[in-house]
Amino acid sequence: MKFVVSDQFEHKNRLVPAGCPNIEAPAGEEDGGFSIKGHPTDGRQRAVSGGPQKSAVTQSAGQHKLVFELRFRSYVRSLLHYAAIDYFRTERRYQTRNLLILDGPASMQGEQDDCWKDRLLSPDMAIEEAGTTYCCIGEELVQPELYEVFKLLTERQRLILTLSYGECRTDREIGLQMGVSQQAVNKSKRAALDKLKRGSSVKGDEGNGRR
Amino acid sequence: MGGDKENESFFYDMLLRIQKGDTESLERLLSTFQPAVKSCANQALPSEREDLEQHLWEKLTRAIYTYDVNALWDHTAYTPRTNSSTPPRT
Repeated sequence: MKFVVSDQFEHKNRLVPAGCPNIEAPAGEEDGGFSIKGHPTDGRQRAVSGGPQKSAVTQSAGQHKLVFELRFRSYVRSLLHYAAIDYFRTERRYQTRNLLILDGPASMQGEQDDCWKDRLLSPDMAIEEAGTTYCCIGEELVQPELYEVFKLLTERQRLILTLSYGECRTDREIGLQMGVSQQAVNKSKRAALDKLKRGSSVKGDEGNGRR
Repeated sequence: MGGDKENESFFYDMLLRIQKGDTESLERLLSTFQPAVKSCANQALPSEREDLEQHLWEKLTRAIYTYDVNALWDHTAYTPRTNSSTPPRT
């Protein structure tokens, strides 16, 4: 297909040295040649394979469209290329201008004791404390069926799911806080997810696992 | 409008229909460029990849809506390529 297209492209070059491609089309009914309404232009297949019953006009229209497609594709390709470059430049400029300095004041009022770093969720924050501030991830489940299944999980599984999905803690952190190994945390997390998946699909909804 | 199955695959006709407000064609046209956008977005770091992809989709959509379908081509379409050894890719 590629080569046929480029062949026609070459052929076209020799046929029409300059000007608009629809110069071939006779003026009149086919004027414009490529208008979409009521014009039985050839499909891509016939334009490419070159059926004998094809008139010069439709061939020209088909070629026009093929070349148009090539040009549009190359246009899009360069567009994407330059848009990506543009994006990188803007992004880099933004990042150099708006550095996040953790020691800097977090508010514009100039209260020096309010630093960005104080607002971070510190990793050694007691897990009970964190668990209570974010309460339980079950409160945020959107699907009622999923919430029903969530209530069936054990206390421990609920806590692990909340910590790992609600607070994005790693298994290792959770394990350290709860006094078990990372593998144990992972195991009960997977068991909990399995339970959620099975329970919600048994009840007949889509059951797309966790929120 | 949507009856002419033969014309559906051509970008030319798709663009015409899109610019008249056919969002279904827009989706189809955008989906043909998905691999290009993906590979372009893969240049970025994983953390920025989605942002870049979003940016590219937006640019592409804008370009599709503003593309002048009936513009005359410049002469380069009719001259053989001199400074590139590869044939025009589709």
